[in-house]
Amino acid sequence: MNRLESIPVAGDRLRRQIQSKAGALREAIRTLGDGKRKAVLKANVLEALVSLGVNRQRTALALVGISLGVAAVTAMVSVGVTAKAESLKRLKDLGTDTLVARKYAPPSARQRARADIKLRDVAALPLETETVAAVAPGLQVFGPFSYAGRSFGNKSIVGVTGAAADVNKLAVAEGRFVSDLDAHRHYCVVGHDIAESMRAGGGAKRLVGERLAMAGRICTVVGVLADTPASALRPFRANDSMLLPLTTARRVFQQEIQFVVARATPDADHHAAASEIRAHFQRRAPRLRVRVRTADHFIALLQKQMRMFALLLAAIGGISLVIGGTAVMNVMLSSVAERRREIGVRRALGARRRDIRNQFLIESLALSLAGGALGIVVGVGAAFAICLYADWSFLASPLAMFAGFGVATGVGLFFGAHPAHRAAQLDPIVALRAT
Amino acid sequence: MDEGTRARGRARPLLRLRGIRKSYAVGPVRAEVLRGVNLAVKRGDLISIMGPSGCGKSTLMNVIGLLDSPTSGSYRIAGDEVAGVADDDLSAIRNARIGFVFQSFNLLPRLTAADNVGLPLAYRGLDAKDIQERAAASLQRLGMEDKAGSRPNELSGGQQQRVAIARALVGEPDIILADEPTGALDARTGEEIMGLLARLNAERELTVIIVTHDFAVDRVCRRRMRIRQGVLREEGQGAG
Repeated sequence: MNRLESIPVAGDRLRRQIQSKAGALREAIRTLGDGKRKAVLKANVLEALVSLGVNRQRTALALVGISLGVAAVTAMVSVGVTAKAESLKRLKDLGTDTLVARKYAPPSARQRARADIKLRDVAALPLETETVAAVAPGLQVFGPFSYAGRSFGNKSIVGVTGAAADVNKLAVAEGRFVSDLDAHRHYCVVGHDIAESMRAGGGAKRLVGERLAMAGRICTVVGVLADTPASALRPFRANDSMLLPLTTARRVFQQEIQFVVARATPDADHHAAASEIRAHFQRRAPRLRVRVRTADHFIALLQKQMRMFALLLAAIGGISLVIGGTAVMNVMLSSVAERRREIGVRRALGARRRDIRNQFLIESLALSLAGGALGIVVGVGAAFAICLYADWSFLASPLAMFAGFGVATGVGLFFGAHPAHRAAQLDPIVALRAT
Repeated sequence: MDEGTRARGRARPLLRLRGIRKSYAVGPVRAEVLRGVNLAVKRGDLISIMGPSGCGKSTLMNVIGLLDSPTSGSYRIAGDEVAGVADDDLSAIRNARIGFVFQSFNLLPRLTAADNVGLPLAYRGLDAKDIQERAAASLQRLGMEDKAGSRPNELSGGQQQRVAIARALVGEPDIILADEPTGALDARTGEEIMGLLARLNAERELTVIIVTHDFAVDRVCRRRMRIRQGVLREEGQGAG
């Protein structure tokens, strides 16, 4: 044991002695320059770009892989940031005090047939509970819609009470909202987008008083809604809907109330409000089952959707980065193989192993960063497309760009390390003999 | 360098190899390529080393050029032992003290003549402006200032070798190691290059060691060495 330990110690001492002799020489050489070798670095960067142009096909494959990977990462982070902002914004739009109760269809159809949400039970909600301030019951059907001789296909038709304007935060741009006094009348309020297409189809500028046909009935327009962003806590898309008095809708479409949008009293805990609403219906209609959704629930849903996108992007990104990285390694290995003699010459002229290693690392970094820059552009574009698809407002995120550059740098260093190490470890004599 | 150091430098050989041995494992046996080489090189020597193929010429050049380390023996440059020195230090010593001239020129194809010449200085860590000036001066010394911006493939063999010599000289090394410097050139150009090396040797007290097959080269050199079966022996002082 003792003998074994003493050997490396003696070896170290010998090495130190030899090194101290070389040390003087080394110091002398060091003082010749500033030791930073800026000129080498600059030359390496320039040369790296030139040498990448030589292996065009392999370089192109590496670029595509890296840029796809970086694009996916950039898009992933972008979508994440956007979704987070979006959920905050939606919360602000409708507030955490909004709850939506829907009739819950039990598995047995016979039970379902019996139990409905009754208008009187809904009307009693604010009176019989502590936490509910206002309610807006509604139902939604889809039916054909035509105006001025033009058919607009199936549209969302929603029966609402006058309270819906307040509870659902709907503003009127023209005319008035549906009133509880309109009982059974064929009056309607049209959403912003529908109004736009009616005007575009050659209709009147002022739509109030116009007549249109929906589901075979003639209705008179009494109001037009202002542009209203979609919200998870509004059971219908206001811009694409026509609103009727609830009483009219129930009779015409032979439908019962499907949902109740409720607004909790200020300072009320919305979980408490939700359970109070459930208890209220349980008490008044024992066979009816309602499911109450709060803002939390919709944000959780949004996040689930975002996580799905993120997972998909992470998978695409991971695979692309491995392919791109492997291609980078391939380009670099062949670059090292083709330039063995150059490596030998550089070593003979005084390049240290680490100078050679850095030269090739810089080259692989240049390759990955070029791909990365491309990828960031594509990634931000993809994030924009996803936001369009998911109906979120797009947010250009600097974090996403940093993440993209970070990943590109990481790939360049990781997959460039092995070829660069190989180049640095080449025996200069062998390298010089290479053809 | 003041007169005192110069005098000491003369008294002490620039290079001293003592009992240099080098062996390689070839399968189960070890082949000994250098079998105790002794050599003392003084400042200003012009030495040729000749020998048949496989006699250890290249290995000896690699050992002298610090590209290869001997299995045993002592090698001192200006009194400093270099056998067993760490790799980074060897690079630094090569950079500062040795200028290489190769048979196939070995200019980097993507760099201009000036950038090729500046390479040793870049590895020394000089700044770009300094490198440019010194590279230009070195090219001028070899009459290649017109070709500073040319790439190697735009130059003739003789021109490339001149650029290579400019590169070897730019760092003001103690010694030039030339491996068959005329081997890839026609007779006339080869003579020109040899004349150039001899002139640099005479004018600048530059120490030059040339490995060659070419008797014309051999004749120009003052000290002629022969290597046979791993042993170096001196043929005698030439005309000089």
